Amino acid sequence: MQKKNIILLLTFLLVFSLHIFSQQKTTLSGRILDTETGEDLIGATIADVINNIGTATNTYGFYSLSLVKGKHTIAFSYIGYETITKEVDFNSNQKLNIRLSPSKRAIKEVVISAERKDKNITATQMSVEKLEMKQLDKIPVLMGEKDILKTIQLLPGISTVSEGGNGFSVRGGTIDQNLILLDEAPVYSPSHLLGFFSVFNADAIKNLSVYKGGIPANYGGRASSVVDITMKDGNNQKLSASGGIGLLSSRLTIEAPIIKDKMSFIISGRRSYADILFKASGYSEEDFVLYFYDLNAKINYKINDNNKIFVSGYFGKDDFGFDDIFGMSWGNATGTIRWNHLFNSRLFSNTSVLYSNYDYGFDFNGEMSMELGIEDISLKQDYTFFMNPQNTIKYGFSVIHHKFNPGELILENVDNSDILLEEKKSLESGLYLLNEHKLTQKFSANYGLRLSMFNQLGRGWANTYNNKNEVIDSIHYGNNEIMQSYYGLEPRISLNYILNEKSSFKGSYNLMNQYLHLLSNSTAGSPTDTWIPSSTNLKPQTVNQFALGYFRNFLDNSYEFSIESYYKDMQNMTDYKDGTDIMLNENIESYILQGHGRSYGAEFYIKKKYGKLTGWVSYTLGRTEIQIDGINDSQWYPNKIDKTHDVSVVGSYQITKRLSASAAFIYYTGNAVTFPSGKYVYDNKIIPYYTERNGYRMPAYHRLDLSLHFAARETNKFKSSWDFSLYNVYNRHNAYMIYFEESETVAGKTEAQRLSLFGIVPSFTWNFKF
Amino acid sequence: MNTFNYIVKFILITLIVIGAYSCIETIDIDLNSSNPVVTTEGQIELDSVAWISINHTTDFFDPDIPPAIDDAIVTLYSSSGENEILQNVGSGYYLGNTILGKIGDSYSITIENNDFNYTANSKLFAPCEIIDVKFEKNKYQYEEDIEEMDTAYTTTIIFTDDPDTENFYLVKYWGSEVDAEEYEDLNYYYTLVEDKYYVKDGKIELDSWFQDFYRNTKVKIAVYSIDEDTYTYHYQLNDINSGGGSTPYNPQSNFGTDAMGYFVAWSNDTWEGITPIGTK
Repeated sequence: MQKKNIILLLTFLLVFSLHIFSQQKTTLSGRILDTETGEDLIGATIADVINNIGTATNTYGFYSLSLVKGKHTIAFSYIGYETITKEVDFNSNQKLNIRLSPSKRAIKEVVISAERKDKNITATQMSVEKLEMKQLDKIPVLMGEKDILKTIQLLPGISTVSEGGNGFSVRGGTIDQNLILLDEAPVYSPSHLLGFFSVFNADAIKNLSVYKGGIPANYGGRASSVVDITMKDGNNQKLSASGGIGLLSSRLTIEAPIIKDKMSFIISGRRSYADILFKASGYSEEDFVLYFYDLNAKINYKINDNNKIFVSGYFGKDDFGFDDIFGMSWGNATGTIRWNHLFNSRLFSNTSVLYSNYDYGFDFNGEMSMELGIEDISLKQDYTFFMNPQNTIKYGFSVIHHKFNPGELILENVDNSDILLEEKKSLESGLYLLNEHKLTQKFSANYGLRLSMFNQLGRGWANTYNNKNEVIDSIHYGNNEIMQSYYGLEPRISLNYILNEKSSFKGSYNLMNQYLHLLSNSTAGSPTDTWIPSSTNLKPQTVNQFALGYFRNFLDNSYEFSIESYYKDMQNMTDYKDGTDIMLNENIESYILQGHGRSYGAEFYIKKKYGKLTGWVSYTLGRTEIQIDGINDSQWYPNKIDKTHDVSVVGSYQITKRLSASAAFIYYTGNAVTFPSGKYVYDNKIIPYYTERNGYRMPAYHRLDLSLHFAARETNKFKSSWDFSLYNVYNRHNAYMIYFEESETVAGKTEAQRLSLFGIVPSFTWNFKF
Repeated sequence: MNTFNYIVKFILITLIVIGAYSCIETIDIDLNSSNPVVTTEGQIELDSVAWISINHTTDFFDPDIPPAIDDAIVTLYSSSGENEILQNVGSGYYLGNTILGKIGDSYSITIENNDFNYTANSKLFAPCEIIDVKFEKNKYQYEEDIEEMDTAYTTTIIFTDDPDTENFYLVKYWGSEVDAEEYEDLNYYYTLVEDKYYVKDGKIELDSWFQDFYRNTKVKIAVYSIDEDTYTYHYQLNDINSGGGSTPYNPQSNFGTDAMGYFVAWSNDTWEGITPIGTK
């Protein structure tokens, strides 16, 4: 009933907004670009300063602003860039591409958003964070590796699930409920080195947005959040190169115009060298392999003012092996072909063909090998209709073909032992319509609907199981025959009421369906995690999220404060029966239990954006629980990722023009864990006795990181800087894992052992640019 | 499959431990007290009488011996129609007297007192025959390890398998110095075999990749014929001892969910020998 009312409301609003589109106006449209690099600037603002109306560039740097005929004063601005103001006399539609220059007065500061100063007050969208790549230099990180996924975990509502891990939880969602997009292509496993570093090379990234709630209808497929990452397009003005040499890895990025102002490319690579250091140090004489590498590349071609084509790709791999005895590797590959087309000054279209692949492989001396993975091919069509300054309508569709390899194990010398799980296929489609609607000067709304569809395709067997996980019935489906279908109507709405120029009140609701499930027995995620589709036995996860927020700025927008609360109702959350073997289990669906979940909490955030001292304090108070028949006597129990308190304090101080110091302090409650409450002896071994799942807590986690950023004297052609950092300054032994074993000194005594990963870790990186 | 999980876990943990400034420390941690539950360990072997040990669980850090239950009535039933009451001989230990394990018989054992009443079932299958045991130098052992320690040998056990039925086996290893009187129990993990993964030609060749012996070592190997539930229980014990492939849990006892432990009916064939003298 509630969902029906929301849909009716959204329909009414949409019809209303179409109705009011009656005045014929002229349109100002174009792109906002960086003078030095020619890069499109995302989120730059275009404002009629007299009439107080405006818009912002979209993900592709395009804007469109409808204005009544006559003279207007238009300001084009972007934080960190000089604002350009133009007097324009409009009699007909005009195209105006603007190049903004980085501000000479730009204060070197930590800025979490490059958009207008009071964007947090005026924007309708709530629960979204945009990350400026420049700030990464100022945040202390493990081994000196700039890491966009680690950085967003310092923001409210986004929790680290394990030290060093790149899996993260958004408002109590599980790690598989985050949709991570790189140039629109999904990235299924965003980690290098078993999760310690993300696959995203910050040098190649232009922009990152994280949607925690009020997720717009153009996104779908995951239940909790969207991390939308855009790669740089490549400098179309001049050849430039940048890079860095660090303790763990080195990186190099080259970008240049192929045809100035029309065609450019960027190529960026990274490789770690732990294996080389091991050999060089004499620590190991064996052929020891332990490295990752990744490569980002993009080329774009501006055919004319109305057409632009982008081709981009990512390829990354982790390799680990030892003296030809065993080896394992895993990695992602993504590919994007995009065509931006301008039908007219108000209708913008983006057509994308996307490819994504994740695979994992293992080999033991050629005698035993294993593979698993997932591959997507998709088509996506998005339209943006800049109807008038009050309404921007977006609509489109997407179709994704998923191919799953749940796993195959081959033992070369043991007959009959191969395990080849059936390949699975599915088709996931989405159709959406949304409107960004400015109802009054003070009241705005983003509302939309998404229709999502999911078809599990043959060939394959649809099994029915009894409660002993035995197959009691099977139906065989032919190639591409529909085995199971699911549909979902997903209303989304965000509202903003501006109380005054310093504060606003926002609310949002979204419903998200998730048709893919991640089989994982680790909290943080591991390379062997396996994606599987929804099926007759496995229902899609559905999350309803409500959020309310109050936003307040102080001292001319120098300080931002916000408090947001959220409540999530989650259906078909998954957990496993006792003793489930998730790898290579052909009947895994019968071992998965589904039930109800809920997550609620409050996020407090205060940020200082300008001045010598910048930074933020973020505090999240939250709870996430699940209730599943067959687990803990069907009582509510904490999800593994549940953390009551999560605090981040990040500060950066500009000591001199060339020297800055930064610090980050992190504290969070230990996540829920299952420990034994008793023991017994069987076959002379001590066996733990468990009374409930996730009934204990890991010890609280905290650490302090420090860093120094020193910019060397720059010449006209060459810039360089040094980053020195200390991770975990006071050398706290945070628990990565706690396990139990018999005491070596006292017979019959059992002891708890704490494995801590990182003590104090110093690192340095030298960065250059020319 | 279990062994494969161990490889993956071993690699992951090794990588973590080597690659990242890790340390392991003994810590104090508060664990709740749990209400004691009944724990069991019992068996009936071919041509042997049954026995069972019945105790209570203790708190996890309690160093005391688990409290024994000596007031239970333990009754064993066979599918041949025999039954007997096992006699308590102290310390929670109950011993049969008349019923001997017989091939093809199913056994049901009931334990009861004023507080509980549990029953478990298990079937005794015919033993396989160990045809041969071969030793081969461990090809994965490094020369420097040989210099520091000794040459290691892996084993290949060849034993019979009825091709017409689905069979399960549990393999145990013991080892000792040649002149030692007692063997050392090497079965921290159980080697479990499901014959569906092998060609059904009447025999199984089992390579023990993860159990090796140094040169000139006295070795004892037993291959137990077990039923599927026993296979599952020991598989789950392996899972728990290795840190757990999923959220930690209690292995599924054949006494039900309220009691821990297992009663097994099984038979075995045993082989004893000495690894090659080889060279150091």
